[in-house]
Amino acid sequence: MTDSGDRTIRVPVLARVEGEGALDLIIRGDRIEQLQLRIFEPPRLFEKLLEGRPYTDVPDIVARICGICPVAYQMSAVHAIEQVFQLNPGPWVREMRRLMYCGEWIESHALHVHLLALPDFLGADNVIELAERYPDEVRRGLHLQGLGNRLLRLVGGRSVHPVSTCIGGLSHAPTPAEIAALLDEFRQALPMAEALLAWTASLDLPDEQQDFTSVALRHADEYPMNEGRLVSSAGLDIPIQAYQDHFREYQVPHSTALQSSLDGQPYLVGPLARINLNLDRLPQDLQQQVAACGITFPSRNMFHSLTARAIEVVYAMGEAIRIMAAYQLPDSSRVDVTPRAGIGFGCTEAPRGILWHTYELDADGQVQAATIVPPTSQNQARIEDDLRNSLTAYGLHRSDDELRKHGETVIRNYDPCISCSTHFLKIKVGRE
Amino acid sequence: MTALSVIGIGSPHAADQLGWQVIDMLRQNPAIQDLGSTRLSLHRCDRPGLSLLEYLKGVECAILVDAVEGGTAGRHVRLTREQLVVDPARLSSHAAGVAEALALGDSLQLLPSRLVLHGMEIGSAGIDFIPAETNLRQLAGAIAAEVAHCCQEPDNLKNAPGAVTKTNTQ
Repeated sequence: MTDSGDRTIRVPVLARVEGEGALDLIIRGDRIEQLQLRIFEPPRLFEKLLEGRPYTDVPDIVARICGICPVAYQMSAVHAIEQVFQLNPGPWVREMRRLMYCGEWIESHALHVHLLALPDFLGADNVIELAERYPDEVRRGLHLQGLGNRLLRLVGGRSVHPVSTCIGGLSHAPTPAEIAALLDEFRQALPMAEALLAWTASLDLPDEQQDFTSVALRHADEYPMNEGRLVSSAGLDIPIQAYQDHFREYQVPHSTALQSSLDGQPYLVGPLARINLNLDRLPQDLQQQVAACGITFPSRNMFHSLTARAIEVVYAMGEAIRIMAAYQLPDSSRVDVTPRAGIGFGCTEAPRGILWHTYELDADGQVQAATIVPPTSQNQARIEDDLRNSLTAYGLHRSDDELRKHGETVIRNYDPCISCSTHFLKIKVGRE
Repeated sequence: MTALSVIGIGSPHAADQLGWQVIDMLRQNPAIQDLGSTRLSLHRCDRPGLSLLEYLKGVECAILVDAVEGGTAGRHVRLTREQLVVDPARLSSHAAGVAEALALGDSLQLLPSRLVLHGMEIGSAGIDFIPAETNLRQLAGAIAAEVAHCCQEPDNLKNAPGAVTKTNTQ
């Protein structure tokens, strides 16, 4: 700290987040002069990489964008491409895609809650230290994460970068015996997920109320995963095709990831936004559990994201049980595909929030152009807003170490997937 | 769950296939086949991260097989549980490897009582390293010997013969 009270605080590498980022903070007196969530992970250029590729390559390529949420990338892509081909793969495929999403939500949320977020709220440096004090809770978290992974392996072929998803359906169908075995384990583990929900709601989380706009999909009669309209807490209600009429991506100098705004303002996507906008789409018994947990949703406390994730773990467990209990082996796991030219849109709910894709294809189904807007990109401006509010409320007079730790806690609370978000590179070439 | 598991850790990419190649060789080994799946399970494990703990659940003896960064390319190393369980400074889900998974498993008392890693050093070649067939067969042979040894007497897993013992996987 200088005599004038000016301080520069740097978190050069953020720990316990997916990918590589940093936080730079300049405080002048009693106010934050500059705050930058700096994402320096190299651009990955997936959109350009897709150009010229056949539609059949797309699900496998986009799955490589993320090892934690590959299903989300596959789902947004196949829905967009099937929209171009005017293809409806039918109810069996719809249910299997929802089942895969359940697996991804369970593994991703269980991982974030236990390994990445909880150490912040329970005074531990990492999950290994946490495990020494809360062994039963961490074992429970690992078991739930493992079940999510096993569901992905069964339906997707493997848990990291699944391989079964294709345009028109799945490349294989699990046998009823395989489904029945996993169903039994899911039924046994459902009380564990419910206990997780009650436990996270009982934790003494920071109480910070903030103003922000929640954005999520909303479906007519189910909790949103693969389908729905885009809605916001500010009254937005549009089809996913109209996304670019309201949302804008833009580059900031300090980040290799694009930021996004809704009608010029930051917004929130992810589990808290989904719960805030879709509480009434949860099953009645789960709504009762949420009502009994002591937290009122919609919530303006960003730290309630932890409980929102736990609610979605319970939901995904129950939804997976429902789908697996009704499982029947189909005659075919996919429908025939006839390529067409056109532009299609896909928007699904990744664990971290809405993931919007659009593809332009030619008559052979070859990709002419692709745009992918990941949830972490969309949350970046909101995270910076949150940091300004939260650090100021926390007290800028605090020590650098305290501010650094609180800043990291705020960022990790969003479960940012930095690797996913860095897909853009702006190149300016000067010629004489 | 079987009492003894051999887990090849890797991915479909270049040198990272090493653990899987050894598992494939073991599957062709008549002595291994004779043990049957109730006594011994063989796994090809794709970049498991912390999910490695799922493969270790309920197992009495586990042998991990993996490529080891650094050292002398092609050299066989054998690391014991005590050498494998270290305290990682930072744990991120993108960087959770074997050491981090084992450290967490140790703190949760989820690890098998007998745990060993058989690896092959890849030197400075990194992912471009291509193991020689003879080195792979030597590694598979050492693991088959250890499997036979611990099937006779499980306590012997800690002191199996015929392997160079190294202390550093980095």
